[in-house]
Amino acid sequence: MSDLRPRSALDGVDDVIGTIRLREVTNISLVSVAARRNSQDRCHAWLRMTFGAVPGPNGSESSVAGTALWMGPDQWMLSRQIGPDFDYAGNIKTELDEAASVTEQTGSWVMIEVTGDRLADAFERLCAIPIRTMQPGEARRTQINHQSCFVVLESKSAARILGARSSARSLWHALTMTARAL
Amino acid sequence: MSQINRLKDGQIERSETLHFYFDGKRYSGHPGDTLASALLANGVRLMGRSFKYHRPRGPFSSGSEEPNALVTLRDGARAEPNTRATTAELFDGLTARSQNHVGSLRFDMMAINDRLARFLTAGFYYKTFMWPAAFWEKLYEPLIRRSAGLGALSALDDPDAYDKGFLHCDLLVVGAGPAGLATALLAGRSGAEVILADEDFRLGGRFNAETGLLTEENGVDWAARTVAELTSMEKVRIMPRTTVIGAFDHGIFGAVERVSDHLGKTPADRPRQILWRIHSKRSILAAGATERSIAFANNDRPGIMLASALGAFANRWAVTPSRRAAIFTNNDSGHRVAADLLAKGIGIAGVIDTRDDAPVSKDFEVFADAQVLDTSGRHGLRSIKVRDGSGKLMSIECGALGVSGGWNPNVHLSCHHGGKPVWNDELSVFVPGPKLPQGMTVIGAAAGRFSTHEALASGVEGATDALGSLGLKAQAIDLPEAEDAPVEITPFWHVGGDAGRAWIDQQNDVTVKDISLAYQEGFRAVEHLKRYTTLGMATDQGKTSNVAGLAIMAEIARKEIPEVGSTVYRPPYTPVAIGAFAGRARGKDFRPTRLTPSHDWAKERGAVFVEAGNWMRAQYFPTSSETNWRQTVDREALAVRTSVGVCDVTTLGKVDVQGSDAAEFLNLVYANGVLKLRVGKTRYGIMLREDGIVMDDGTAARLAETHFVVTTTTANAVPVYRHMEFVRQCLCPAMDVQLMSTTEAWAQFTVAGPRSREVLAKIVDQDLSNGAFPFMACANVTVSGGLRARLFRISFSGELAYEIAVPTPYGDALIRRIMEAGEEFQITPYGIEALGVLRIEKGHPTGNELNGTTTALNLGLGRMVSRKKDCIGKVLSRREGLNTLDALNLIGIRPLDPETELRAGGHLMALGGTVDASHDQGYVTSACYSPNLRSHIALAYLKSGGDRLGEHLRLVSPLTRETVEVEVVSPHFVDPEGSRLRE
Repeated sequence: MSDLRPRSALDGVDDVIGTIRLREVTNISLVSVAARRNSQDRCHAWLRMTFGAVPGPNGSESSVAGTALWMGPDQWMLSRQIGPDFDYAGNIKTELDEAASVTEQTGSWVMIEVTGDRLADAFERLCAIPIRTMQPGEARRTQINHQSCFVVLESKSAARILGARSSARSLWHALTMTARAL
Repeated sequence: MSQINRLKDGQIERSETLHFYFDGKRYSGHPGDTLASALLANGVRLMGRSFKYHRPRGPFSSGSEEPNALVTLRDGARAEPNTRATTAELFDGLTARSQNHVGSLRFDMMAINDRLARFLTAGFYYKTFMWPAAFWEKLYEPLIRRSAGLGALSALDDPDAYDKGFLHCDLLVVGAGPAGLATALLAGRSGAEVILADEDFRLGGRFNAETGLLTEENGVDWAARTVAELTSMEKVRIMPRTTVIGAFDHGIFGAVERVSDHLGKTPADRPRQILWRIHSKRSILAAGATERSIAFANNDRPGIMLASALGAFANRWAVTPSRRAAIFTNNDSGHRVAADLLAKGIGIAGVIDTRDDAPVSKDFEVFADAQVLDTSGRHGLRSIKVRDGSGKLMSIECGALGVSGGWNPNVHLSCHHGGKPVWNDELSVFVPGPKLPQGMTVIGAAAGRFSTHEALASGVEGATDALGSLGLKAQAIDLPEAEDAPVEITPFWHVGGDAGRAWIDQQNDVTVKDISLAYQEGFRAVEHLKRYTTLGMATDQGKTSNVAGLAIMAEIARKEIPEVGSTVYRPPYTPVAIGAFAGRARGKDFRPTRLTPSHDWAKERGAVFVEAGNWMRAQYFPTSSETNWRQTVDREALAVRTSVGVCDVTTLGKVDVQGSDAAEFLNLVYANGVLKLRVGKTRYGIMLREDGIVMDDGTAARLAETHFVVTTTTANAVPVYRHMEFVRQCLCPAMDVQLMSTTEAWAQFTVAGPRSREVLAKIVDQDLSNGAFPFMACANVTVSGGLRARLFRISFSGELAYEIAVPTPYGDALIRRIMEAGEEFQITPYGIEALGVLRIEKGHPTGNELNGTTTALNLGLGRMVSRKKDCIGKVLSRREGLNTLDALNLIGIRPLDPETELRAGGHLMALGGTVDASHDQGYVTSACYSPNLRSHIALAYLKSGGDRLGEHLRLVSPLTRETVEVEVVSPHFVDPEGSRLRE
């Protein structure tokens, strides 16, 4: 095992601003999966087996194996609560083999959890998603502070944002400004 | 001064007194007041000076259409010029200053302009100040600008924050007057997601301004009850102080919410205003109507205003400009205002009605078939000159005159998609035309349905229609009994005669005579009229003047009003602070910042950073003994050539290309062949645009039979990915290929220099010998005892070099580990300045050379465009014009004196002869000082450059006026054979 130690994008920051709690979700591994030609059925079957269903547009499915998020036609982002030491992509690739193109995404993203009763108020200032009518499990690709993000609604008072790791501090800055502005 | 003109009742909170300052003088008012109403209460009618003639002006309306009562609100950096006193909500401590005067407001020295009016007619500046020409810029224009205009900006940074936001709804209702409230109530009760927005801070519209609109109860009470019910509905969002400023595509509206303007000072961290983008499935425009005026001589004195404003000030704010008022009207609403004023205890000096069948009143004198010819009163109205139906002239003393020329529906938002309003002859108004923004229905007075009954009924109709299209069933609501008076109007636009100037557009000082002049001078088309006279071009966008101007032009041209047409309605509906458009994206927050995985480490080492797109990249790493950047960069570049250096190259674009057709796909995208690239090998490649110009260069590494990693330049990471996706989805949809950006997924470092292998051998778990891992090799490896990594033996510097990548969370740890491993070789971190020096020394192109005009031939890479296969851009790269004999070639240049600096951007000319564009032979793209060559060097494009090595030329810069004699050399200054990188 390597002695190099990973560092999360925001060093695991966790803050409460007014009624909003912002927390970097650490130890999360990500991988993108795209079905290859003539392998859609196999990928769908695997997703059903692993997550219970195949996430459709604007959807996500969760199970003990993690969460699968729809990214595009026959493309999904998988996440699992496990540290980056684990070769999640390699693991998935072994399972899907040539049925899918599998790409490690752990380092690409920062995941920030937003919780609080005024979640909808906060998101109305952040991005153009219909936060008040979204149901738990729904997801959207959107733009926050000029940054492309995924937003996955977990409950009426909790959501997770996936944003680019390199601009994680800018995203955090935008979130904290908004929380203070409510 | 006490509130001498405060009347009884009104919708103000008399229990609380607010103090405010106007032009430094202290006054008092109450919550619920606007600045205008509070000033009127205190007996102040004079609130500003006009734009051109510096005429004394007071409020002309009571709302956002106000042309005259513009003030600078607040002080210092928060000062906001041209704020309408009629919409500025009073708060304790409010400060306001009048505008556009030299000396005091009352004794404005620039009022001399009014005496010079005959020389300052419409378009005077087009005809005068013609000579001497040089005087225009330095004398005439500054003079005109100083004497004209409204408020001035503070020129200080706006200290307030502005937010942007996004809302979604089934139904957006614009306007919370009778029609809007009825619509919202029905839609809300029927379960729709409703947003009800109104620019006013008190909802209810005309219910707040007029009496007698409902027959069985007070309209104010009904409005309050309705608002209370709407407030209790979970799916209804009520947004007072919110102006819907524009209708955009797909049911999207822009709206500005004034969150804390009425609080005086914005609470810390809170926004002053929010610019909302409202996504609506359906919209209802219930924006009401704006009363129009009648033009007559000197109709702009303080105290003269729209009759509806006079009524609103009395009914809602319990104030009046004067205790004695007259009304000048051509329709029945003027009579209703007179009755309201009388009920408030204001003496009615008379109602002057242009109609010969004007209704009579037992409560006040009505002059039928009469006109107001002129007025008097220097700083405020004292009397009006009236001609009655018999032709008798009389002077009537009054301090207030309400003018009503009918009502114009507020069609603005209905026209934002290019729709034109249509003329309704029966009502003598423009009403919304058939082309409306998607999903919009117009109701109430905005649709020309003026009676309260009609407004309420149309609200129900609009809501029912919208609900039906939303798949919701409309619930029944009981509407209150309301007046249903027909529109009784005889169009009357202006009083004829030559008594004096009659103002149409009070904010831009446009008179009836100006319109006549425009006609005489041939500016007859409505858009020409607008621009020649500036009618409707002020901050109020002609809300009280446009239609009258068109009507007068029609009269002069002997046309019907519809023949004259109307000008274009554009957003925003009312002025918006620039800060609201900027939102939080200002200063350092203008755009997000991207940080490399080694950013914190580089910062610890004192790196100097530079912006590269959104990235912050280490430019160089100065030591304490270095006094200028050149010393640092020279040291870094030398270290790479003599020992080893390390540089974070994470910013280079990275795309994972996978699938059974991945090789075939890349073979099409790259100009050179990729199909036969062996697994474990990397190839340099160029991509062409469809037009044959080079798009980008980079490498393709084959990690597996069906898996490539493509690298791009930092600047082109996104464009190349987008291009590849276009090819995949649109040109080759049948190919089995999947793309995924991995730029951020991997922290990648270049370790370059003759000792680089020794450094990496301590970190990488696999054999790095030249035999096991030769030049251009690539592989999935592990580092530091098992961490997955990618290794590429590629070189931008021309030295033995590697690029090593680990998952980004390990980037910080890896750079520190590399530094530890390289300590014994004095490993040197280097930034992008040294990176640039090293690549110029090797003649490697980058963005400076790939400038969107250059071909592979220009770059000396013409042979890379394979003749054996197809590629994007291949055909057009063979265009004759791109393959001329004297085409530009990339070459190197050196000054004859090595210490003479060369500058990028300079042009190459023959040693003798003319220096101009027609003798241009090429230009320098990149230049630097080479510490290895101890000389300044540069890369340049030169006509037929490849055949001109050894030739001497002049490098000239018309900008810096520098001329340097240079020698043309190979662009490969260092190790032209390329032996070092293969060692």
